[in-house]
Amino acid sequence: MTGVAAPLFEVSGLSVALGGRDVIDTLSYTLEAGTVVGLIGPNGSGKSTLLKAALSLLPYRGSIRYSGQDLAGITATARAKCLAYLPQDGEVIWPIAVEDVVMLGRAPHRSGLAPPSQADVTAVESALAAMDLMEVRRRSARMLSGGERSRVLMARALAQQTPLLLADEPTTGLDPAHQIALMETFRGMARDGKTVLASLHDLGLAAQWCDRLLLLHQGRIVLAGTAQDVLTPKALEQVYGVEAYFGESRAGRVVVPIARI
Amino acid sequence: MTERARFLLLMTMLTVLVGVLFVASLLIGPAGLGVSASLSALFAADGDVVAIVMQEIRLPRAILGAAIGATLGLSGAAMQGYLRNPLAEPGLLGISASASLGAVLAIYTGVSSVFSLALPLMALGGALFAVVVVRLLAGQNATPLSLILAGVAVSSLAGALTSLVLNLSPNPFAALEIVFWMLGSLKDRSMTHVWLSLPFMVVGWVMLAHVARALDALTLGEATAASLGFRLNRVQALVVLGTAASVGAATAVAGAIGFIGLIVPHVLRPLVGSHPSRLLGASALGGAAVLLAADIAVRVIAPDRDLKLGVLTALVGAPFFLWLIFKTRREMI
Repeated sequence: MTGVAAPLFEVSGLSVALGGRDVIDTLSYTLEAGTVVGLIGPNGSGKSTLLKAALSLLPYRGSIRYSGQDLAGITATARAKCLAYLPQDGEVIWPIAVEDVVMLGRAPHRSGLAPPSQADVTAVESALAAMDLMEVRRRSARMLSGGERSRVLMARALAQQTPLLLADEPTTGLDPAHQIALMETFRGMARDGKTVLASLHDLGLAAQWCDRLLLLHQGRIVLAGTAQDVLTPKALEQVYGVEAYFGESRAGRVVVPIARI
Repeated sequence: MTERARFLLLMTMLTVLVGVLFVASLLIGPAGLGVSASLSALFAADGDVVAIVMQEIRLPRAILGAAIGATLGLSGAAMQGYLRNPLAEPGLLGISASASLGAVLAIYTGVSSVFSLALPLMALGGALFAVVVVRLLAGQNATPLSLILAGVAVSSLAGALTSLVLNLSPNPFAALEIVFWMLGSLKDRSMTHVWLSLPFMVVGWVMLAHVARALDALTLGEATAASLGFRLNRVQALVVLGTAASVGAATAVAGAIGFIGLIVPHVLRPLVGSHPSRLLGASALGGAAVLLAADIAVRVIAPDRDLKLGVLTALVGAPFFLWLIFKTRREMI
């Protein structure tokens, strides 16, 4: 191999205006293949907006590149083969079966109304298995508990089989075991060379499971690096306005916010 | 049986049902013709009375019944899928109200009595006007909500203008003609009506069929659908224009026929596993079957009184809809 490969995902000089105000302000970051990156920051800091802009769901200024290619120049279907998105408040409007919801993730890979290919079926099966949904696969996705529904929507994003997953608060609404299971899934994806950018409110999960963290404050990335670099008492105080307990466990660094400042 | 096999079975059954009702529609009428005589007259080249009745009266009526029913069912399913609301129906965009206004103006001004095709043509003009106004009002990047609001505005305005025309009508006969037209009917339609409306309906069907997969993806919300590679602006344009072309043409030749576009998708939804894409084809067939059946019913129930189609569909449709709501409510608890 010669030369330096372009980073998997590169955002530079990104600004997003909502209601006449720059919610994201000339922001730049890169994501390397095979990493889990946590996007943290207080409410209203621009996490969801940043993810949506990265998917071209919002108009933006600046450039977003995937493997060196400007996303503005490729078709929506081609983009959907590179980036999967897991929205914050995922919904299922009609009572369709769990496995059919997961099959919707194959949309960019399918054409017309032809029956699913073997690759589609395999992708759906492994996504269902990964999210522990085999038992409920025939049930209506509207008749599930909140946590089960989150897993169905995550399985849908997995079935899309993209190199990059953008997940907006994927652990919200999950019990601790399923939160850990989801973060393990992310780690497994990273081992397979995939990249996950997930916004997280749980700083403990962010510290324990992410390779890198991006700390967002008022539309700008104020700190980026490992949990050790980003989750400092000073940063938490200035950005979140909280005091935190820091400790070490056998799983690594533990961060628990304990008081407002 | 797999879900796909069940769906194919349903589609086959609906197709057979439409075929049977289509033939029944050809065979039932005041002239009381024999089965074999009527069917052979359909293909007869000479212009005897039976051939004229079959080719010029019953055949267009049956074709329009099937095509308009399919239009209402399909566009209803597409609107419900796109707006992700089971209460959406083809009339929501103001297309049928505006088409009605065009037709009413044709009757009011007397143009339709001089040139009979002026009525459907002006109705089509009304539909076109509505779709332009709705698209302008709702804007290029319209959310479903602004689309609904624009449709409601256009609908109300067209309704008010129709009332104004009725209000100003020169004599009670003109007013009566207008009211009767608005009740919806397939009586006395010719092959000219078929040739005028069918191309628009077919174009509309093709446009609506194109959004099938996008409607499935919209089940997971707009952001997810967009992230799956569907261009929502294009989807919306296809839904609006497809509905306008097909429902505009349907209203232009048959008047406003309510409830089919609302109820048929509702009834069929559980039978297709709630997939919006599968619901499109099923609702088209279901709509065709229901309208053909209703059009047979008005001829059988009151052969001499010219019972209007729109009256019958609303009379049967409304109680049925109430029952449906009641049933859904019970299932929710």
